[in-house]
This record gives sequence, C-alpha cells and structure tokens, in this order.
Amino acid sequence: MIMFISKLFKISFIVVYVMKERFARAKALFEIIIIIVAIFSISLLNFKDVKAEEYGCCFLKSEGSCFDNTSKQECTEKGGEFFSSPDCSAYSKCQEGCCKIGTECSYVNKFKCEQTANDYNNLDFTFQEGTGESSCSLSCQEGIYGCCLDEGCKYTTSNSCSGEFYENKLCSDVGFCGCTKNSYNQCYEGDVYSFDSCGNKESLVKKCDYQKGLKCREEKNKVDCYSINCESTYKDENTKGTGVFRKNGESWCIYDSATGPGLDSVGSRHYRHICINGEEIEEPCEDYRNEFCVYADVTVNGETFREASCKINNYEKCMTECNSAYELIPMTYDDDDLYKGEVIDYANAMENDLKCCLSKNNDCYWLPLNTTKTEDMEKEQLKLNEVNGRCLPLVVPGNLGENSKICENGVNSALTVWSQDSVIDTNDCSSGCEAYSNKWLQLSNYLCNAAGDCGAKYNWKNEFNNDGFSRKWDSVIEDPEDDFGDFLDQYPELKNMPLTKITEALLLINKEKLAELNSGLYAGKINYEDINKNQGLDYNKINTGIFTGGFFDVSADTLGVLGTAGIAAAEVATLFTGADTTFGNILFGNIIQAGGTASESGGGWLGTLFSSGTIGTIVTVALVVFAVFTILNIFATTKESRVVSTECNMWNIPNNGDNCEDCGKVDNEYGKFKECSKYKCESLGTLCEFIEENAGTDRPACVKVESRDVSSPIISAWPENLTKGFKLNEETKGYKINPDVPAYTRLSLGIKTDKVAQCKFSENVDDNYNEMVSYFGEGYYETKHSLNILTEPNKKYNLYVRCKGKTSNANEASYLIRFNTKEGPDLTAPIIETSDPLDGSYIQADLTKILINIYTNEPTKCKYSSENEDYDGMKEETNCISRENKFICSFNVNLKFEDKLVNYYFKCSDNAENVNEDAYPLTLKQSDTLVIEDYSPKSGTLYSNSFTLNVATSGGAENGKAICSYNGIEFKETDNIIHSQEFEDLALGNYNYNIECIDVAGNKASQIINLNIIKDVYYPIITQLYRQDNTVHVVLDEDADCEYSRSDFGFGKGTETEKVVGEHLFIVEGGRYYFICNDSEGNINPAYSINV
Amino acid sequence: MGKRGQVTLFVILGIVIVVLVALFLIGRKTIFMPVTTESLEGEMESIKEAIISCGYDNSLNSPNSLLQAIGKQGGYLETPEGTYILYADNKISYLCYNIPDKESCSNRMLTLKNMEDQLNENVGYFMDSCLNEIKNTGNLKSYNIIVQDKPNYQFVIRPDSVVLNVNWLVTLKGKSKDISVSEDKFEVMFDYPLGNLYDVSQEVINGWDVFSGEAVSGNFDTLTYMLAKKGEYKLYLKKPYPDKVYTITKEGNEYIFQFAIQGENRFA
Repeated sequence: MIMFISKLFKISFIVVYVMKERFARAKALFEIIIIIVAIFSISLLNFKDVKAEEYGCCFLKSEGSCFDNTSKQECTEKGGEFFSSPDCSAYSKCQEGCCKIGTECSYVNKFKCEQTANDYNNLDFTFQEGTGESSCSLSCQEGIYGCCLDEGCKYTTSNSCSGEFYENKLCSDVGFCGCTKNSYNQCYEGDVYSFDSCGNKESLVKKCDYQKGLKCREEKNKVDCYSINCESTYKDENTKGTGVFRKNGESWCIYDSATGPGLDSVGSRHYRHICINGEEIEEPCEDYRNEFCVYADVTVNGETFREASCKINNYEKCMTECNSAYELIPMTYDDDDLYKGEVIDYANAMENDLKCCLSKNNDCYWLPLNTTKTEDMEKEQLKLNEVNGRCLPLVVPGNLGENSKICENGVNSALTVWSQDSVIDTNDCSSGCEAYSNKWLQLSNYLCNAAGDCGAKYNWKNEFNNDGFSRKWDSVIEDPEDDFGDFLDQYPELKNMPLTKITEALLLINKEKLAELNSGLYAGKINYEDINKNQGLDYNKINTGIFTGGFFDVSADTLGVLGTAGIAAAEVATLFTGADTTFGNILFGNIIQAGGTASESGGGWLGTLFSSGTIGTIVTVALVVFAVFTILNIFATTKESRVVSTECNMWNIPNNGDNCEDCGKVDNEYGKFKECSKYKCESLGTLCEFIEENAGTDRPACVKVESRDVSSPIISAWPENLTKGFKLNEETKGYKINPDVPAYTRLSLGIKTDKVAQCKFSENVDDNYNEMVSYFGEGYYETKHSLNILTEPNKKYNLYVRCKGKTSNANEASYLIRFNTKEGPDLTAPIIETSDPLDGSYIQADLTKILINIYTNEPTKCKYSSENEDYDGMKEETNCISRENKFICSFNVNLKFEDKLVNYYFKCSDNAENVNEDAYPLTLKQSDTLVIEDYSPKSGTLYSNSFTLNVATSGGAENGKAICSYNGIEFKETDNIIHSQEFEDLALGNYNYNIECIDVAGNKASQIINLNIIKDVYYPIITQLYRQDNTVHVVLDEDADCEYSRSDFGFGKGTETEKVVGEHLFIVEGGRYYFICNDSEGNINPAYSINV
Repeated sequence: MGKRGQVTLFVILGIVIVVLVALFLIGRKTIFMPVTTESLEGEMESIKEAIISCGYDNSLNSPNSLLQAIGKQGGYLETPEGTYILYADNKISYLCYNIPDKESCSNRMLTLKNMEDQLNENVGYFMDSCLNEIKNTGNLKSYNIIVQDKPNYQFVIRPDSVVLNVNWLVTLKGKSKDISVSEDKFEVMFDYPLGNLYDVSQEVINGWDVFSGEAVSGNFDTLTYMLAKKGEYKLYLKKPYPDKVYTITKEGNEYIFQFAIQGENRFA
C-alpha cells in the first residue's frame, strides 16, 4: 500500500511538471490529487487498530468471581462489571479476605464467600479483609475446641456447635460418647494424627516436615511420614546428570541433544522435569525451541536445590539487528588501503552490536573473534580487534518446514584479493585466501547452523544431511596449487580444489563431540536470599556476555549473569583455543588485515640506466632490459577482488520414513516422556507424517506414509479381539463367526490393516466408503480396529467393511464379516424411555398440531390414544425408525385441549409382540399468549442519559415468566415477569431498542422502543397544585428536589419539602410562599409564588 | 383303588401343591407380610438408592458421565469448532483465547453457574428414563408408586463435591392399607472436587493472562504453586504447539479437570 501511495505521489508530481506553463492551474490540480490520495489512504487504514478491543477485569456479582484480562464486550454480554485494568486485584470488589464458613476457611472475595455460604444451605459466615492466605487458614484452627454433642459426638469449635459443648474435652473423654481414645492414626494436612473410634481427630502423633521432603501417607496399612523425594529419576542419554536422586520441589532440564549456540539438532526440544510428592512430572518447553530450558543451583539455608525453568527464546534480533556491523564490510577491494575512518565506523558499529547482543531483552550469545595483537596494528585496528565478534542466538531457533528465510541470517561471505605481480605471473590469491580453506568452510557452516534448522547438521536422531549448505566463489580457479601457493603451508588441502560442500567428517562439532556437550544451559549457583522470594528465579537476568577463556567456562558465581558465570560444558572452549590466533581472520579478518597489504613497486632504478663501459654496456643492456621489464610489470600487475560466499538453506529432511515410529518412544517406570510432536516427527523423514488426532494418546502419532502410495489398506482378521467363546473362520475376503451369537449380547469383533487407516462398515453391500456412516471402532487412524455390537435376535449379520489410509484410496471391494444371532426368547416389552416434548411440557399458544417423538430401546410399533386403554384398542399406529442406536416413533397429533390440558397415552409392541402393560402418559399444557404488559420508558424524548429499561410480561406458559432481551442482549434481570436493564451515561442521541421475550413454551412477544436522549434544559413545571387542610401538595412534570420559604430565596437556602409518592408537601399557615425546584440536570425554576 | 387310580391321585395332589406354593410366592407380600409405615420407609430407602445408582451410572448422558465429560472438556459439554483443542482423545476447551500479537490472552469467563446450567440442561434425557424404570418396579409389590410432575434436576458444584438434587415427589401407597410415605427431594453426591479444581484453573488463567508468560514478576509457575499447596493439587502441563493444556487433579481423588490456553502460531 505504501508503494501504491508513493506512486500516486510521483504521478502527481509528473502532472505538475507537464503543466508547468499553466502554473496556477497545475498547482490547483496537484492539491486536488493530494487530497484524493489522502482520503484514499485514510480509507484504507485498518480502523481495527485504531479502536482496538479493550481488555480489563470483569466482576460477576452473581458468582462473586473476578476474571482478569477479559474483553469488555464479553464482560458486558455476561452482565458483569468491567474495570479497565487487566489485574483484578486492583479493585475493591475483587479484594480477597478470609472467609469462614462453619469451621472451614477459604481465601476469597466477599461476594464469593456469600455465594459459597448459600451453596451450603445458607450457613452463617464471616468475612475479614486484610488478612493473608496463610493467616486465614490458621485462624480456622483457632478458637476453643471441645466435644460437641449434636446428633453424635464431634470434636469442633464452640462457634460451630449447636448442641451441648464440652470445652477443651476430647470426645473420647466424654463418657457417654462411647468413643475409644487413639483408635487409629490417619493423615491430616500432611501430618500424622490420632483419631478416636468416632472419627474425631485427637492429637498430633508425628509432624512431617514437608520442606524436608516428608509427608504423611498410608502404606501397607501403616500411617507414617514417608519421603516424597524422588529416590531415582529418569536417566536421559542426552543429558548429563540425570537419573539421580531429586528432592521434592526440585526441577531440572532434559534435552534431546546438545544445546547452545549452533548446537541444537533439528527437531530437538527442551523439557523441564519436576519432582513433586514423589512423582516425576515432565513439562515440555514450547516446541520449535521457542522456549528453552535453563537451570541453576539455588542455596537455601545451606541446602542446595536445583531449579529449572522454560524461558521464551528471544532470538530474533541476535543475527539481525545485533549483527549490523557486517553490512559495512566492503565486498570489493579498493586499491588504497581501507581508510582509517572506515575502520573506526566499523569498530563503532561492532560496539553497538555488542551492546545489543548483551541486552536483557535478547537471548543471544556473543562470540568473540579477537585475534592476536600484532605490532604493526594501528590504533583503529586495535580498537576493532577489541570488540570484534559475532552475535548468535543462545539456543538455535527451530524453523523446519515453516520459515526458510531465517537461514539467510547464517550466510557468510569474505573478500579475497587476487593479484598478478608480474607479466610472467598468473593471478594468484594474495589476501583473504583462508576463505577457500576447510577451516573457513567449517566455521561458516557453524554460523549457518546457529541461524536455525539450517545448513549441514544432524537431526535429533543423529542423522546427518549436508544439502542445506554450500560454498561458492567468483571466477574459476584453474590451478589450485599455483593459485594458493603462499598458503599451502597453512592450508595444505588447497593443493586440491576447495570444497563446495562439507562432509560429516569435516564438521566443526561432529556427533561424538555433540554427545559430550550434554550439560545443558546452566546459570550457576545462586543464593536464595538474592532472588525475589515471590517470583522465583528471574531468568531475565540470565544473559550472555563476553567470556574469558572460551565459550562455556564456569568461572564465577555472579548472580544470574549467565555470561560471566558461563555455561557448563567447558569442553567446547577447547575447540577454539587452537584457532585463537587466526579465528577472527578466518571468518571476518579482512578488515583487520586489509590495511596491511599494499603493492610494492621498485624505485630509484632510473638513475642507473645510463652508466658506461662494456660491463657498463652489459649492465646497461641488462638494466635496459630490466627497465623495460619493470615498465611492463607496472602495466601488467593487477589486483582484483573476488568474493567467497556460502548458501545457507533449511536443513534437508532425509528422504525416507525409516525412523518415524521412534518419535515419542520414552515410556518407562517413571512415566511417559518426550511426547512426539509435528516438529519432531517431520524432522525424521519426508515420509513421516504426524497424526494430530493421536497426540497425547498411546496410538502411534508419527507414521510412515508412502506419499505416492495410493493403494488401499489390506484388511485382515484380528482373532484375538473376538469375544471369548467364539471362533472365526477366515474366508476369501472376510470371516465368519461361529457359533451363532445369543441375542442382546455385546459382541467384540476386530480387524487389522497393514497401514494406519480409518475404517467404516455398513450392512448394505453397495455403500462405498463415503456413503458409510458407521465407524468400525472409534474412527481413529490406526492399524488395529475393534467394534462392539449389541446383537438383535434372529438376525443374519453381514457387515461390509472398507478402510482408507491417510493418503490412499478406500477399498474398492469390501471385507465381509458374517455371523448369525440365535432365536433368543424375547419376553420383555419395549421400554418407552422418553418423549419429546416431555411429559408436562407447555405448548406454544395457538398451536393446533404437534409432532410427538417417542423413544424406545428396541424396534417397535407404537400407538397412542387419548384414553388409557389396551394396546389393541388404541387407534393410531406408527413404525419406529432407528437412529444412532435409538428407536424413534413419531406422531403428528392434532391438539385438543380441555381446560388447557391434553392427555395422551402411548404403548408399544416389539417384534416378539411383547406389549406394554402400562402406558407412557404424556400430558401437555396449553399456554397463553405471551404479552408485554408494560414497559418504561415509553418511546419519545428522554431528558436523562441514565435510566432503567423495565419490561413486564404476562401470559405465556408460566404466567408471564420469560427471558427478555434488547437488541439480542439479555436483560441483566430477567427470567421472571419483570425484566430490567440499567443504562448509565449514554451519549445523547437516538436509540432503538428491539425488545424480544420468549418463554419456556416458545411463546414470543416483542416491542420496539425508540428513545431520543437529549439534554434536559427545562426546569420542573407544576402540573398540579392543591391544599389539603394545612398542607400544600405540589405535583411536578419531572422528578426534582424542592424547597420553600416565606420570602424569595435562592435554591439551597430554603426548607426542603417532604416527598410523598411523587408529590411535594409542605405545611402552611396562610400567606405567600415561594417554591423552587431543582431537577437532576440542575435546571432550577424561577420561584413560584403561592398564595395560601 | 386300583394302581391307576392311585397314580392319578398323586398327580392331582402334586399339581395342587405346586399351585399352592406358586400362589404363596406371588401373594406372600400382600397376604402374609402386611404393609407398615416402617416397611414403606424401607422401600423408600431402596428407591433412594436406585436414584443414586441412576446418578452413578456410566451410560451416555448420565450425571456421572456428564460430570466426567465436563471435567475432561474444560467446563463445556458443547465444543463448537474453534473453541477447543483435540488432545489425548478429548476436546479440551480453551478457557483463554489468543489475542494476535499480544502476549496475554482473552479470558473466556467460564463460571461455575455455566457448568451447572449445562449439566442441568443435559441430564434430563437420561435421568427421566432411569427414573421411569424405578417407577415401574412396584408392579408386583404390596404398594403403589405414585409420582407426580416431571422431576426437576439441579446440580450444585461445591468446592469438594458435586451434588445433584432431584426434586421429585414420590409417594409409596399401600395397596391393601391406607398407609403412605412420601419424599420429594433426593440427593446424589459425587465425590468430585470440581469447585476446587475450577478455582485452581482460574488462578492459572489469571496468572497467565496478566504476566504474559514471561519469566518476570508473577509468572504462573506450576511447581511454585504445587509446593505452596503442599502437593494438594497436581498440575500437569503439556504444550501441543502452539497451545497449552493443563490437567489438574486433587490428592487422593481421581477426578480430573483439564483446560487449554490458546497460543499463537509464530509461523502462521
């Protein structure tokens, strides 16, 4: 849209230029175009952004519940009170306090306390504000305890005893309770208590220190404090330090692979494990490594606990904004050295990148790329060297199959210089030639790996693929040994053509090394007192920083700064120590080195050109030749810049499906861990498909799918699933079950398919797969399918089964399962289960005909009559149809009410001619028309912008009880005969309210109210004035406050009148009285003079 | 009497004995066991138990199965498209919807009353049919079962249990004597701490909303919460991308309440 608008502006300028001679006219035209463009642009603006949905706190008084971050619309629709702050704790109505109901305490707000008390049959309650949750629960334990005799003996507080109370006495001490002291032990709030034989808690036997991992439990009939620590935990092969003892409340990280800058494998995920009450629970961090797991050792009172957390991976800026310096690198060689000014610019930009990388808001890692200082380095180069580095994501983001653009951040390039030093020489690489080395290839691939699921790397099953990364260069290298002559000592591999692709053997960090880097992301040792006690470990403080001595060096115990504390797995540091001196050069050293090279040309030879003598002649000739040669050299020497760059693409998924079933395979005594996900599954192969319906179940979630395989699944019998006592005999395409099955039996059948498939069946041989409506089993995609059938008597079953794979066609020919049912004795009459409408229902007014459905449990014929007579005597008969395992019999009945009631009696007869003895009675009640009896305010002008819309209904099914709404929104008070809705502070203007009411029988009534709300600028007017004895009565045309006095006065200085039923009264003695009123809008009438 | 005559006599005698025994078995309750108020009260207890067993039945739409479903589906029995995530074979409702480009989510405002209303609306279909069967059991007994009106069902979700109140006037009237016993309120109690679990879910959502999932102040941490409650509640958190599914249980009780929080797909 921006492009479009700018084009419009350009067009407008062109127009002005063409019409320059008619300047005034052109100017006017230009202005018109500007206006048109502006209007057009504004109309394209998305006003949704301008007027965004408002979110805040919603209070529902009816429930006493407060909901944070609710949309205003949702809140209003549900009849709640909306507050603009999303945090409800800011509002008094949501303030929590101690609610005591009986002997139970809870920490809730006052309205919820009332609501709960109502639920417990209106028990008495007390509510105390300003207490904390723990002091609230303690307060319930306070009070005078004793034995309460009230329908038994109960040990409780005096407040909750309504019978005879024995203060400070256990019930086992009260003789006539008959309770035996210390009859048994039981757990109570985590500790061991003794209980008497009447079930009353007596005394504390043993306190179980939860902090120390002890809790009361009953094991093998013994109640005691047992350890709730996790004595042993799941040992993960990819994470060091797992499988050990963990204390209750500890949490730790588990990873699918090594983790860190450039290390995470494709498809890998982080997990947080928790030990709580003796159980090990896994919480996966968000997939695609959108969250990563980081852990620390927290010391509390001398004891160390491991704590882990899944943290959001803020990687986006790491390789973009925090690597902006690299945009300044020139990609062409200038004959002059790089200007010092450019080096300074570059150093400054690099410094900014460093700050960006270390920012708290980013989860980045700063890779320092300092080289060894040399004496010939100039001041600017020294500065650059100090800050030289590259910003990488701390944890590689996952993007497989979703976002390939992210890999562009991992592209690397280098400027090399090729020069021809003499006429007899060829172009050789003279500077930056490391870019052709294997080392550069390795490190560039590492950079690519760090950007995302990019480059040549492994997936989480250690399958390697290198198609995602390659190197290329300008111009052709004809003779590597010659071209790289000066560098062969350092990079002997350059004798051969430089590699375009990297092999597994050449990887900077191969899988053996990765397997060693399995300590994860460790934030160091932290004292509990140093962290915010309410919030837990603040992982935002964890950041990356400049390391001393390498990558992952645990060298300091500074609070929360991951950078200086380092990341565990110090082995990686050794990878780079050998390359320290040239690391920076190899990757990005052009800038630092470029200034040092310069072409050299000889000088001062002209002076010796014209010396004399034979030798002199020979020398002269030689000199001349030399001179000519040198002159020629001057014109022959060239320098050209060539760029070496990489292509960094999304990691290539292996073209197979051999390992699909390995996804989500951890299932052991500790639990089911490392659940399969789409990301994990798809990283295993192009033929691996994730079945979303199977997520979280025991069914395979990642299956191999032959993408080009359209052959339908092969169905075979599953004899093990057949109900015991029966056998199946396989036939050509199906099987038969013998012997015959008794009637009304639940028979279990099964089939298997050679691939995951969904199966259906029908009793109609002609139905194709899409026409079949019944699933064989649950309808899931799996390889084993089980069906349960409730058999009917005397029936030959032919079940035609067809299946369909995920990508394949359904079976053309069906698989037939046959069996017969016995001639079972059916002695039971059919059961009429229910009807629609139900017995006692109200029928809409003025309905003369109705469809009545009767539901039975078996195939039947049914009749009805208005008399309770024998089945044979009943008149109307209908056959019932089967639908979803139910049998429905429908009757179209003419309604003939008598005294607003009509009775019908239904009886049914099944196929064995069993008939109902008792009829199913159905009484229907005729309702009256629902009417809106009255409403206010009436249509017209309203002088107040706050009012209550009231509607009264009558008639209908329940004497006017109905639910009313206005413009589709339910009244706040409704479901009754009076309906009301308050409106406050409405803007002035016209309002249309479409009132609709509906009752339980479906009777409707509606009314439209049109209101015009205008500001009330009129003062109250007397509409009626009369005297009764010595009291004057005044009636006004609107509601107002009034005063009177014996003399003229200003409002506020008189005596208030008495308001009684819409009249203003005041006592008089005779004479003149002045009377002034003030309405709600502040309109005050000029004083009325009343002569009495 | 000849042999043939003796045989005939014994056959007739046998038939008479059989008939008498049959009559006794059929009519013993009316003839030999008169109806009393105590016996009718005992029968009323049987009816109460029958109603309770209706409540505990596992058939479709029975109170028990409705309660199980509402717990597994995040407080909603109806799950329209777009309001749930299918996970572990359950349609788990979102109780907080994603707001595009915002880190917090929009509270769906599930209330206890919502759940009670849904349960009330759906329980009639099964319970009416089950109660109908109870009504028909008095046929061969010494009393009549008279029921009036249509039963009314009211679920009440309490913190540590759910109660189904069945308001249904049942009168047991003796066939031979003018004695009757009536009851109009029956209560079925389910040991499902749905109220407590619902409260926990709201704490999760409110914590999650306000602090937008960042590990800064106030982020809802399942472990911190479980430790604060001394393990009384267990929270299992799964993350089928991009959503979150919480499953909550209370110690010593197998009932579960699970719900989902909708996430934002970064790649969409």
